[in-house]
Amino acid sequence: MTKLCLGSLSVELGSARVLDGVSTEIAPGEWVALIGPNGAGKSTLLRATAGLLRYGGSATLDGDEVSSLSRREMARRLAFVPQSPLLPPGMRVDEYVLLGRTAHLGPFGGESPRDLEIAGRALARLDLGPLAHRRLQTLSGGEQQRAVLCRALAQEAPLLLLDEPTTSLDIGRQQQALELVATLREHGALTVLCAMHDITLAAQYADRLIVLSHGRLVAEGPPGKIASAELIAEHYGATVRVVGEGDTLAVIPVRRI
Amino acid sequence: MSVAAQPAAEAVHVPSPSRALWPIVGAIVFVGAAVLVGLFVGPAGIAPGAIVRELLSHIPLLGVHSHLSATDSAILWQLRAPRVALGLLVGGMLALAGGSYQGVFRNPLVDPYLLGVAAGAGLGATIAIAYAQGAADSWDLLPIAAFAGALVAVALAYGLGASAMGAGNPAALVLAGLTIVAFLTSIQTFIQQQHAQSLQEIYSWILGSLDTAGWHEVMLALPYVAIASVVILLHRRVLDVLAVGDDEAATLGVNVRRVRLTIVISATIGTAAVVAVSGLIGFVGIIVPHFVRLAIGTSYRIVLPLSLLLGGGFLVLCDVIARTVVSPAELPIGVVTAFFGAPFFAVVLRSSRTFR
Repeated sequence: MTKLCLGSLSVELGSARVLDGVSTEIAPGEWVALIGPNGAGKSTLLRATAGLLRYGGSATLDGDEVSSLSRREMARRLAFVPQSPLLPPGMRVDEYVLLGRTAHLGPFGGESPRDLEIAGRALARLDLGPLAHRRLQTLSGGEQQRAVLCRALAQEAPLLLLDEPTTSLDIGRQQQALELVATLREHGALTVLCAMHDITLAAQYADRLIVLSHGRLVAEGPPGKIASAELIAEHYGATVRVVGEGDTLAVIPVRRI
Repeated sequence: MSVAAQPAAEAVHVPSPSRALWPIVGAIVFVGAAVLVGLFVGPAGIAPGAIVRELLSHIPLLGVHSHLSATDSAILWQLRAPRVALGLLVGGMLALAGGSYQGVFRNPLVDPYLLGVAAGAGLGATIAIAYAQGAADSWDLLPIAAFAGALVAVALAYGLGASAMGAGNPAALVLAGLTIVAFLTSIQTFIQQQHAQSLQEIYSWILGSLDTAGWHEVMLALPYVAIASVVILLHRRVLDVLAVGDDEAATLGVNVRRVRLTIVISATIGTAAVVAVSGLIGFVGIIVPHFVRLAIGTSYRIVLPLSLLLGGGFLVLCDVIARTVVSPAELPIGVVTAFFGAPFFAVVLRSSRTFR
């Protein structure tokens, strides 16, 4: 179980401050969804947490500053699934999933039987058995998404960072992908931080929502409290109606002209 | 999260990806055959049977005695064998360096000369030929100048790329390489213009050749090639990880910057060493790794060792053609690699299913 603490986390890209003093704590085993309009800093927050960007302030995993960890150590603690992963042409699904074991191998070593077994179990859990020997580029969008999640699962890291895991999936596949993350959480002690566009889905699956706008954390709390028509109007500039409550609420856009 | 501890569905059997036994065995057989052809064929017309007996006589406990005359033995061991050995070194190194460069830059069009090895070596050799005619009798000057020129060029390109846009950006390095190549080539052309009398010699060096004077060139290049090959082959799995992109490779636990620098330095030193003794031989470094990808597999665990073996065997065979087709004259080996390699590769390209 991993506790993630962000303290005044700031990121500057060029002269632009794209993340500005974000402070929050994510408890072990919690699922937190990051929402906010385009350019709010959701991906930047995830990438800084994954050690991919230089940041100001602090980001700690169980008390250890992210920037002080080696790549290898970091990969054992957190797995990152980017928005549009690069799928190497010609690579098979099982080979791809085995890449998740990189941080567990010796510097120049190959996979041990244990690594193969862990990859095999991860493939089975995501129902990728029949596709294990297919090449990545022959899979459908939903299957590719599952392969990427499977790679992250094989990494056996207690913290999972997901950047828009449902983009480019149809409504059925969106549901499947999120259900998958939900089941993974039930079985293992998995902490999830996930950037999402769809507020309805975010509210249904996450324990807590964090709203980012212009790089700042503007609201956080349980979905029922956060996903309100006022907040969405203020930060997204959208006119919506929010129906239902708790984990069954839905955000419905209202036509204006 | 521990996957192993979970009461999951039946595990899927995942084969170990490091096993590529049969392709490796096949490649070793190919190299062996290429070596024999390289030793058998030549203007002196020594009977293959006699050569085989001579080879076997060097294996202890077999009790085979060679009937080769002293002259024929000298032709075999001082002319043909070093040439074959040099072909293996040069071809293997160029193909291995090309394959690894394509990996660290994630760019299939890259060849080992990308960052200026060829332009730097060409300039070094040109300077040595043009300005040190007399001193060039101490004949190690040419390879040393070429070697130094190659290293300086790549150091300039890497420095420029890293300072301009950060070493994390492979495209920046490629652009920096292009800049350095253009700059050095212009200097080389200028020097050639000023020393028209050396043109022939410079040109023939540039076209490349495995013409040797005994084992000297082999021994000159061998240590660099050996070290570079070992370092690159140790990184074969890491190159597979790099294929998912710099950021993702980093989150999988790879220090991308360090790996890229290590591979570039190793491939550069190895390439510079073989270019220094053989001139500029094109085509091998780009085509052999692609042949392996199309015909056998795209994992660098397969691409790199097979490129090393097949590149060596391929160049030995090309050299046999280069020195026999217009005998007693010789074709530049770069002409042969492209003339016979291109049609062959075209067939492979058409029949491959890898990228469909």
